[in-house]
Amino acid sequence: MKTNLSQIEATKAWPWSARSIDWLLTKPEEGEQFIVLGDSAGLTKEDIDEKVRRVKGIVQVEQVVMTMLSGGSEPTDVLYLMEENALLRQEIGQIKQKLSELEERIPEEKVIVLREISREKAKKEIRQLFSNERTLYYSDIAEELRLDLKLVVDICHELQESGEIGIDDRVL
Amino acid sequence: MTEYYKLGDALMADRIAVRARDIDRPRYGQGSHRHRILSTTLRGSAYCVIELPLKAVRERRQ
Repeated sequence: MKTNLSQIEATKAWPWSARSIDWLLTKPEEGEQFIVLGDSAGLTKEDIDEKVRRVKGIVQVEQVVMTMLSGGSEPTDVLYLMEENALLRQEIGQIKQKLSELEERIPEEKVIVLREISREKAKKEIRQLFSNERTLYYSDIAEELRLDLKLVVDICHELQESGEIGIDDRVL
Repeated sequence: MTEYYKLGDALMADRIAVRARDIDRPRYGQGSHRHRILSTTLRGSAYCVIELPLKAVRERRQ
């Protein structure tokens, strides 16, 4: 897809040093050559969008610069601030990425409100859970029936002693 | 089944189910042979039960 970037009035922007404009317009990946405005040079739509965003940034900065210059600031200060701003943005991006990686590693919290039911009712429900010959750990039963783990273990021992349930040797 | 209450009583297994009023955030460490190992502490009404005994115990049982 060819797109004419000349529609963006970047040429009217403040005459930045060639190095700064190079740095703003080139792709972040290594090895990519500088691409002149007005030629998409086979770039993808995402690349072009990214460049448009950067050029718009230049135009915005120009307005800030003009304001600052009228206040007595030097252009070199502005260039320094621009570079620092870009570095900080890059660092924020890296931090965001690390944060999302960390968030993925944190196990999801699941809230289970335990039910307070009679021992007999709990026993009946556990019996029912085993009715279709499922293999369940104590924690599976406690989670599924929302019962206290100790109560589940006690009831399972009772059921085991009465021969209603047994240990699945396939799991062991 | 036996229940242990005394200071220093320990459980060893391949799978232990736990419940407590509060569970500390897991701490990451390095076990033997560069295996990642996690540790935590249960606080208040802590209860632990073995769900899957150690492999050696399971084999002995069979």
